[in-house]
Amino acid sequence: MKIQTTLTINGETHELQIEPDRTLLDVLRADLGLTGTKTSCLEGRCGACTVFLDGLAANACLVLAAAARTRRITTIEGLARDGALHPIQQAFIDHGAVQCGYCTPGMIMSAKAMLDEGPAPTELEIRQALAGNLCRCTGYQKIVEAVMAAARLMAGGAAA
Amino acid sequence: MVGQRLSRLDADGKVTGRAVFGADVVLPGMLHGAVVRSILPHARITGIDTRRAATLPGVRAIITAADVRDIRYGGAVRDEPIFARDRVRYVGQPVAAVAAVTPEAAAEARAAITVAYEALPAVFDAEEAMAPQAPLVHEEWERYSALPLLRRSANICNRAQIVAGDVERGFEEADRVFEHRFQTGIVHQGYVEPRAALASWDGDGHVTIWSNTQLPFEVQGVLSEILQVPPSRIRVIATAIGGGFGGKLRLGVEHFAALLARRSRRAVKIVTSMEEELVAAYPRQGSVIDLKTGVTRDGRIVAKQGRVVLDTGAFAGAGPAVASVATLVLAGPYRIPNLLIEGYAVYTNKTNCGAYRAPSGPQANFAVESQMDLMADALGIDPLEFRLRNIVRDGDEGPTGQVLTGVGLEECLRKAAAAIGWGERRPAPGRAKGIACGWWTTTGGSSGVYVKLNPDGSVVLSTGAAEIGSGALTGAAQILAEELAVDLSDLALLSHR
Repeated sequence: MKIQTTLTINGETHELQIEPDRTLLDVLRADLGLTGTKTSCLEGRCGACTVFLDGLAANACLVLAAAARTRRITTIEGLARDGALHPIQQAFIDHGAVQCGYCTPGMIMSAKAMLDEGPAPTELEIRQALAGNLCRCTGYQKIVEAVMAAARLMAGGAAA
Repeated sequence: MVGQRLSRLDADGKVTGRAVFGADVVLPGMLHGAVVRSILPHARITGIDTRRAATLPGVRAIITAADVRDIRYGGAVRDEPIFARDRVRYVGQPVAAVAAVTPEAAAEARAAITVAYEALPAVFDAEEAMAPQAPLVHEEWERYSALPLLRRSANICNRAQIVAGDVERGFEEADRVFEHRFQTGIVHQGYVEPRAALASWDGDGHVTIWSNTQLPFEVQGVLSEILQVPPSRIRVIATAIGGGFGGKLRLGVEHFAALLARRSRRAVKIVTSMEEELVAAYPRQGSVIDLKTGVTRDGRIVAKQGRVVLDTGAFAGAGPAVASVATLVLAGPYRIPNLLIEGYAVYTNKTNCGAYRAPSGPQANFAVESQMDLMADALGIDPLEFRLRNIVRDGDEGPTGQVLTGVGLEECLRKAAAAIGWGERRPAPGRAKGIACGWWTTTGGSSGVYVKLNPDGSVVLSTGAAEIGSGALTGAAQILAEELAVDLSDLALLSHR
C-alpha cells in the first residue's frame, strides 16, 4: 500500500506516492535521484547518509520518509547556493580532505550542523561532532583541518 | 604543471554530491538483483527449490548453477565456480541469484528460495587443514588448472620458498637463537561504499557494466569467460569508488548482474549489503607465522628460518601470490646469509581471501619487526642500532639474488629516529615510541592510456586506472597537460569505458 506524502527538500516540495516503510535515504536516492546522500551501513553507524531535518543532522537511513513530511529536509545537493560552494565544501577541496569521497557529503553535513550551532569549535569539538561519520581514507586529520579553516572563514564573514 | 600541488579534479563532484559512485547509477526500468548465499561452511547441495520464489509478484528471473557454464575461474588457481553446483565450501558462497522489480521483491524472492544441504566435515584452521587427515576443501584439486610454478598439494594451494646459504649451519654460528610465533586474523578492508554493479545488454549482444571496480580490465576478462562473450562486446564503465584498498580488485557482483540481465532482458542492478560484505568479500588472509632467528652476541643476524601459513579460505583467490610475496617480506630488509623461508596458502571452509594494502606485508612485517624488538631487548642493544647493524645497503644481494640499488634505508631510519627524538627516548605516561622498517615488492608491468584530440581543441584522457582516492587520475591529467602544453580545463578524464 502506498501513501500520498509531500516532502520539502532543499526548498522544493515533492509530491510522492510511497510505501510507509521506506526510509528517507531510499526515497531520496531511488525516487528523487538525490544520490549525493550516500548509502552504506543502513543502521546509523557510518554517517554516510547524513542530512538535515529542520537544520539538525540525522541519519537518513534511520528515518522513515513518511515521518519526515512535516520537516524541512536539506541534503548535500542543497548546500551550494547559486553555483557557489559553501565554505565547508571549498575548504574540503582546498585542504585535501577529499580522497575517495564517499564519506564526504555526510562529513560536510555533520560539520555544517556543528558550525551552525557554534561558530568557533575546538579541535576536540570538531572530532566529537564528526565521531558519527566514518572515513576510511584520510585518517581524519585533513578533514579536521578543513573544518577548522571553514569555521574561521565563516566566523570572519559573519563579523564583516 | 607536473610537480604542482593542485586541487583534485574529482573533488568538486565529491563535495557537492554529484560524483557518481557504484550504487548511484540508474537506468530506466532496471530490475534489482539479490544473491542467495550458502548458510553452511561445507555441505553437499541435495536440492534447490525456486518454484515458490518464481511465483512471487515482481520476480523476473532466477538463475542457479543449472543456468550457467560449468567452468572454474580464478587467479593463479582456477577453482571458483559461478554458482555452487553440488557443493558449498563457505558460508556466503553464491548458490542462486534473483532479479525483481524492487529491491524488496528481490529480497523476498531470495528468502523464498530453499536450498537443501547435507552437511560435510569442515576445516576452519589453516594449520589443521595442512594435516594429512584433514577434510579436503576441494576433492578435485588436482584437476584444476593452475599456474605451473605453484606447488600444490591437497589443501595447500601454494607453497613458496626462499633458500639461501645453510640455515642449520647458520644457527650453529649463532650465540643466541630466538623462536617466536605470531598470529593475525582475517580483516575486511572496511571500504565505506558497498560493491555494486549495473548491467545492461543491447539488442546486438553487447553488454555494458557499470561497476565500482579497481580493475575494469580484470572484470572485462573474467566476464568474457563467464558470459561466453568476447571482451570486445563487454564494456566496463568504472564509476567513482568509495574506497577499495584491494577489496575491489576482483569480480564482485558484476557477473550476477550481467547473467540476470541477459535472462530477464532488462537492466539489472545489484548492491551488496554490509552483511554480504563481511561474509563474502575478499578480506586479508589470517596468518600464523613462526620465526626462528640466530644472532651473534654483537647483534648480527646469521640465520633465519620462517614459516607463514595464510588462511586463504575456500578458494585460492590471491592466496598463492600473497604467500609468495610473504616469503620475501618475512626475510625482511636485512643481510642474512642463511635463510629458509616458507609461505603456505591453505584452503579452509572460510570466506575467500584476496588482497588488502600491500598483501602479506602487514602480517609478515608485524612478525619480523616484533621479533626484532624482542631480540634487541634480550641482547641489550638499542632497537634502532640493532636494525642499523643488519639492514641491506646499496649493492647488497637480496634474499632471492636480486642486486639492490638505490637503497635509502639507513638514511630513512636515521631521519625517522631524529624526527621522533629517538635519542631522548623518555615517553610520556601512556605513550610509547618505537621504530621499525620493512619492505614490500612491486611488480613491473606495462600500461597505456588513450588520448583523443577533439576538433574544438579539447583533450580526452581515457585510462584503465581507477580513482580510488589516491589522486591517480589528477596526476595522470597533470602529466598529459604538461606533455601537450594544454590547460587542465581543456582536459576531460575518463576512466575505462
